[in-house]
This record gives sequence, C-alpha cells and structure tokens, in this order.
Amino acid sequence: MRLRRAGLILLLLLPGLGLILVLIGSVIVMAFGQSVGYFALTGESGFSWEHWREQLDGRLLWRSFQYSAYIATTSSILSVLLAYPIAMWLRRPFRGSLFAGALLKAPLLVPGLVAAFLFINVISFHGFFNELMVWLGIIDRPIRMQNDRNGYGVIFLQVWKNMPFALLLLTGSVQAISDDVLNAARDMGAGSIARFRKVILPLTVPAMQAALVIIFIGAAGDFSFQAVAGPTQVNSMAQLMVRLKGEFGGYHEAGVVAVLLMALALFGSVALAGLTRFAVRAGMKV
Amino acid sequence: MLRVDDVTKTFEDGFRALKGVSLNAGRGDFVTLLGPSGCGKTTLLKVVAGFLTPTEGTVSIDGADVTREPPERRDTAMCFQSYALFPHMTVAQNIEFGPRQNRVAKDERLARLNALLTQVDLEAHQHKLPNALSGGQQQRVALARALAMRPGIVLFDEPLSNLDAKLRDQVRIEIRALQREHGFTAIYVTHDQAEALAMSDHVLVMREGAVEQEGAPEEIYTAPRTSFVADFIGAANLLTGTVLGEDGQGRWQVQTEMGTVKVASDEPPVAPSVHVSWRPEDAVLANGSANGSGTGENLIQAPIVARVYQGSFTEYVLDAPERPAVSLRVHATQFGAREGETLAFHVPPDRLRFLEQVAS
Ligand SMILES: Nc1ncnc2c1ncn2[C@@H]1O[C@H](COP(=O)(O)OP(=O)(O)O)[C@@H](O)[C@H]1O
Ligand SMILES: [Mg+2]
Repeated sequence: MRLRRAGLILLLLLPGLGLILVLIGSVIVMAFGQSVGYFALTGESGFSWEHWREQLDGRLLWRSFQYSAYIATTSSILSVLLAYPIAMWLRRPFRGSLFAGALLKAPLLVPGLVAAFLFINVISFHGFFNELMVWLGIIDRPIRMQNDRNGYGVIFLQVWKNMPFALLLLTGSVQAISDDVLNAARDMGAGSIARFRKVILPLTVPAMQAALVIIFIGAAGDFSFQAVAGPTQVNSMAQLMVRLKGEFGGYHEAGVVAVLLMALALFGSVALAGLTRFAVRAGMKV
Repeated sequence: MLRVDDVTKTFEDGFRALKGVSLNAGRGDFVTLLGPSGCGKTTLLKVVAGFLTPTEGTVSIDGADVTREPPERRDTAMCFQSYALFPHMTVAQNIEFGPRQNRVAKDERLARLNALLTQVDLEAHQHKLPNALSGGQQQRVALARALAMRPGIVLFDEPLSNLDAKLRDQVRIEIRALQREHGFTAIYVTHDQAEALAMSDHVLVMREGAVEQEGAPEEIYTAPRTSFVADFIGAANLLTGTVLGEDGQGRWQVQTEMGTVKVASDEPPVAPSVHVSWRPEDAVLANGSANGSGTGENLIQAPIVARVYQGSFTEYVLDAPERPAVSLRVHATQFGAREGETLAFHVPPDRLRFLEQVAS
C-alpha cells in the first residue's frame, strides 16, 4: 500500500521534475560521458581518463580557465558596481526618469554580436575613433586597441551588455525600500554612506547576488565577444571547446573543457554569492 | 524648546500643504496636531524633523535656528505611521541603531537597550526580526528605537492608527507613561479627536494647511471658535443666527432655526449674522417633556424624528422648530420619549456659542 502511494507520488511528480532532470541531467551526463571516452562519434567508445589527463597536463586549458574566470568575475562585479548608483538615481521618479531608464536598458535589445562588430568598427586600427583623433591632431598615428592582451575590450562589451540587466534587478529592489525606512535611518544619524551600507545594501543583497551570478555564468561561457574582440593569444573556455572539436575533431577533449566550464560556473557563482553576503555583513558592522 | 514660525510649504507640483503655521512647545509638553486626513499634519511633522525644508518660515529648537539642518543633526526622533523598522535587523539591532550611529559608548548603549526592552516589554523578543512581531509589538519597537537616542523631541505620526481599538488604549497609556518618565517633548499627530482630547496638554486643530484653533483640550471642546472645530471635535448642533440685540449684560437675542434664543457670551458676535453652536449633552430636558410642556430660558419644543439608544445616554434626533430641514441632536440620560412625540428642553444661554460669520 505504502509502495503504491510512493509510486503514485513519483508518477505525479514525473512530468514536472522529470523534464527538469532530463534537460539538465542529459547535458551533464553527455558532457561528462564524452570527457571519459563515451559517446564517441568517430572511433570506438570506451571508458578512459586519457582525455582528462592529457588536457589537465596541457597549459592551454588552464590558461583558458583562468582567463574565463577573470573575464566573468571582472565583468559581473563591474556591471553591478556601475548599476548601483544608477539604480539609486532612478529610485524616485523625476522628469525624464522613465526615458533615462528606457535608454539605459536599450542594450538589452541589441544582440551581442552586433554590438561587438560596432565596437570593433569604432576602435579598430583604421576605425572611427583613431581616424577622429588623428584628424583632430590629438595623436600622430593610430593606436592599436583591438584585441588587447588583457581582454579590456571583452570586459567593456560584457559590461555594456549586462549592466542594464543588473540595473533592472537592482532598480526593482531599491525601489522596494520605503522612504520612511530611509528617513528613519537618517533621523537616527545615518548619513548617505551609512544609509547605503547599513540599509540599502543589505536589503538589496538578493538582487545583487542574482545579478552577479547570472552575469558571471553568461560571461564565463562567452564565445561571441571573445571571438570578435578578445585577445588572440588566449582562448575563452567556449572558444577552446569549439577549437578542440573543430580543429582536432576532439569531442572527448571538448567534453573535458565543457565539464570544467560547468564547474567554473557553479563554483564561481557560489563563491561570488557567498563573498557578497560576507562583504555586506562586514560592511554593516564597521 | 520647539518653535515653528509662520511655516509655509509649497510642493514642486505647486500644492500649498502648509499656509503659515506656527507652533510653540515647551520642554515636556504634549502637543497634538489634530485634523482631517490631508490637512498637512504629516507635512508639518516632516518639516520639524527636517525631512522637508519649508518654503518660508523657520523652525528652531532650544533657541537655535535649525530650518536648514538635516534630520541627522536635529534633536528630534520620529515615530513613523508605518513604523519604518529595519526589516533586516533584529529588535535589539533596531533599537541600537541610533546609539551606534551616534557613537554612544558600549556600556551606555547596552544599558539603554536593556532599560527600553524592559519598559516596552520586549525582552523575550529582542532577537526576533520585525516581521515576526505583532502590530502592537512593532509599534513598541519603533517607540523604543526613537527613545534610544534620548531625543528632546519625539514626533509621533498617527502611531495608533494601525492598531485595533483595545491595543490602542494600551499603547496610548504606554506612550504617556514613557513621556512622563523620559521627559521628552511630544508632538503628536492624529485625526482622532478623542485621542487628542485624552492625551494632550495643548491641541492645534488644523484645516487645509493652517491652524484653525489652538488651546487646551477643554478649551477646544467647550469654546470652539468656528463651525469646523465645533463639528470636528465631538458632536455639535450648528445653527445660523441673526443677532437681534443685546441686553447690556452680555446676553444677546439671536434668531436661529430653533427659534429666538438668548446667548450669554463674554465676547460679542463677530458679525450680525453668525454661526451658533451647542453640544447635544448641554440640553436639559424640561419637566414633563414627553408631552411637550415646560418653562424656562431657551425652551425648545421639537418633534422627535429618531431615537438612538447608546447605553450611557440616548440620542434624540429632532427637527428644528423653525426650519425642519435642520436636524438637532440632544443627548439625554432619561429615555422615556418616543419617535413622533415632542421633546421639550432648555439650552442654558452660556452653553450657546458664537462662531464665525455666516458667509453671504
Ligand atoms: N511630495 C508631495 N507633493 C505634492 N503634494 C504632497 C506631497 N506630500 C503631500 N502632499 C499633499 O499635501 C497634503 C497634506 O499631506 P499630509 O501632510 O500627508 O496630510 P495629513 O498627514 O494631514 O493627512 C495632501 O493633500 C497631500 O496630497
Ligand atoms: Mg499623515
């Protein structure tokens, strides 16, 4: 009887939970399986740690891993740092605030690749910016800015594309704090910095964490910005996957990178969310 | 202690919420701002707290002009209508917020916290978050949080409006007790006239951004100067009168909707045509009133339209003898008379009051 009941519950949960498990699980199982030698499209399938050993020993993978982690962390933090003051500014409606808000969120509508090409047009060696500066006589000859070694171009694009998203989340969260609560803090001697640190920041932590995590995961898996505007001497994880598979037909090697990319997304976002919480707590104490 | 001088506040949209309001409160006074919703009570409180800067006029505390000082630099603490507790801090952290912000030494801070927790009976709840508390408890946290700063002036914005009737009485008594104990000056906003009469040393009746009348509660109640005040505070019979003449001893003959009556007043009427009021409980039933006979000054005989038993008294609604469209109300402790009968009663001349001029 109990067994039948349990079976019924399982059956009822299956359509919802089952779908989620299949969708997420299949990706993970596939990637991991491929990384240890299964699901071979060419040659024979069979268990082996060979591809892991090979990849982990190479420098290529670790450089990509570090690079993607760096781009993702910097982009997500910069986006949120930039979004906060704007969200505060838009907290109370004023003449033109609706328009300003809409304008600031416009990048959400522009596909990333389009933005990347536009950006390249502006900063390339014979691009708009260099031509203008030379024409104005500010510089003698064009400066090399495209595909810079530190990935600043990619970070710029990531922030340009993701800041509006952080803004969207933070504006809602900041607006939910009542004037009375902020006035009460003021009344008790809290200046604008203390109000931000002790009231606004702690009350917007969930929104900030959500923004950080989602931007981090997106930027960690970036392919298009990196392909168009990224440094040429290092690959992002996604780029490396495509390269390993494309150039060498290495599905198993790509699988290893895929598993590591997922690990980066998971542990990176957990670490970021945890650190945020910790930092805000510490900020309240000071 | 607190002086508000001729304050005007015009909002950005051009709305004038305060039109030359003045207020004086001495140390330890309990001053109430009473008026209907939208008359500018909160605006005035925010001007005193420093959340709003007046368009004209000044605010001074202890002789120092603070009109342009920010709230964090004024010796005031506000108790918000919405409580405005910090939702992410425990009860204790909420109460300690002000002292911490003002760098009060730890020993002193803890001493204040513990004393206040005892006073508002929240020791058992000090580690809870505000949303785990009932409305009355949240109100007490707000109170304790304001008092923890040892302010000279506490501003209350309708603190009881979110509480049920029974709790309201309890918190009302608590606020007065705390005020006596701490000796702060209280500026108390309410739209409830009973609350204002029960709690205050001094009442300012506000109307459309201006002070209509101010004085001790008894004075406001017994000697209203306008129909607005008479009607807003307690129940009142409002009549329009034409002054016929004076007998030389402060008694005026006045023709009203309930007949020609004598009005005994120290002050002459402001115009030949004035509003006149009297309280329903000031009527004295004439002997044998049920059948409509009786003698004496200002004897009125009027048909009873409705009779409402209220427990401690009975309210009779009557048609005014000279103009039945105007209703009169009489509160009596005898309740023999019925609808359709005639009620005979006196209104002592000194209970009739001259109000403002009748607008032509
Ligand atoms: N920021 C504002 N801008 C424009 N009008 C306002 C503003 N704040 C309040 N008012 C108006 O001022 C009047 C008085 O408001 P308030 O002081 O809150 O009244 P009360 O507290 O007596 O109910 C109201 O008519 C209200 O609509
Ligand atoms: Mg109000």
